[in-house]
Amino acid sequence: MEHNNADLDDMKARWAAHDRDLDMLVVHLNRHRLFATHVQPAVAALGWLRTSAIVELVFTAPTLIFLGSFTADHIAEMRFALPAFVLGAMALVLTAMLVAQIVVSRRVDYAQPVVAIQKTLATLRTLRIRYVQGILLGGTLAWPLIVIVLLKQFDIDAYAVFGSAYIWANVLAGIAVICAAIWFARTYGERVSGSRLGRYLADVISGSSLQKASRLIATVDAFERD
Amino acid sequence: MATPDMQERFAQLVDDHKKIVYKVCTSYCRNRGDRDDLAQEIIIQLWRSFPSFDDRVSFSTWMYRVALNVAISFYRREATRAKHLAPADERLLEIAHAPDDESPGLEMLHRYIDDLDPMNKALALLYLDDYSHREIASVLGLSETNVATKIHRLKSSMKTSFAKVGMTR
Repeated sequence: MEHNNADLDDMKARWAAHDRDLDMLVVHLNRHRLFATHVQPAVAALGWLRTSAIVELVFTAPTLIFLGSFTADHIAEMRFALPAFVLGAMALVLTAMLVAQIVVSRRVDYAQPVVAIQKTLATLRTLRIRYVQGILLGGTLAWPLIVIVLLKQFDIDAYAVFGSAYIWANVLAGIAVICAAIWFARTYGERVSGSRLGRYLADVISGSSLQKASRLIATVDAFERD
Repeated sequence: MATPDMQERFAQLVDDHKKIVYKVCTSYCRNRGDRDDLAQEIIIQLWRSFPSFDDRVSFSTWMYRVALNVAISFYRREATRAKHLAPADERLLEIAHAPDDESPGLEMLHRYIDDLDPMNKALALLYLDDYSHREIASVLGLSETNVATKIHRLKSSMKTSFAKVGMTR
């Protein structure tokens, strides 16, 4: 054990010697570029996420208002009010997730203690993944409802044009597509590693990125707690 | 809006503490291209956070917080991010790298740090850099007692690891 302690002291001494060697490092800071460039897209992931959430909110919020007023206008016709209400509920959840992303992203200050910031970043990542999952999977399920509502805006009765059975068959087809997409992403997700977007979407759909984010939160929690 | 004085002060502080950037980059990235990319990200984040830097706090502690937060995030998205952000001539920070002929002991220490998870890697770096428990607690956001416990574990783990490979002086 004494031998090991000596090794440990020796390690610290070697590290200190290494540190002194680093005094010889020559560092050149490209001041012109740093001080002239406010944002480099590749490194401004957080800024991009916040901007993207704000832009999405600009589109989602009016949709929410439209669906709310549509539901109220057609409350006596449940076959139109119900799809609009379901879509409105989905839009409300997405809006809440966007607002949460904006709020949480504003709390990220890299000069704050590591544990707190890593937890905030992991929470933000989880929110984003759930949001993208909601868009991809919810959208697949919701499109027949969207058709019903939009056609009604032009006084076209989608039930009369397509038939109720056709519409509900599409809802069921949406569910089947979701199941197939999850299966495909879990089975063949690894094979799309050549495309960053493809890999990202496969990970989101299969739930693996959500699992990673949850593991990350658990790891940071455990580090903080132990 | 950044004044020339502020820019000058920032550049001077970065130069004075360049070793922190170097050590964090070499501990979190295995290859040189990634290290260079991480160095750019750290510098940009340091500059963005600089207006909120409080003089009452030591610059090295503040710099460690920012650098470690960026490095841990960078490390996690290593598999998905775009490689090599900027061409060499557009880099914000050029570091003439230290020679690679490390002593076997130091090489082993780097290997040991490589194998740690990102959070414990941060702890090991601060411990080896001889920061006090209070400073480490402040950088990581843990209690001093927790830091003491973790350092005790880290030392035991180091001893075991080095004993396994028969490290001698």
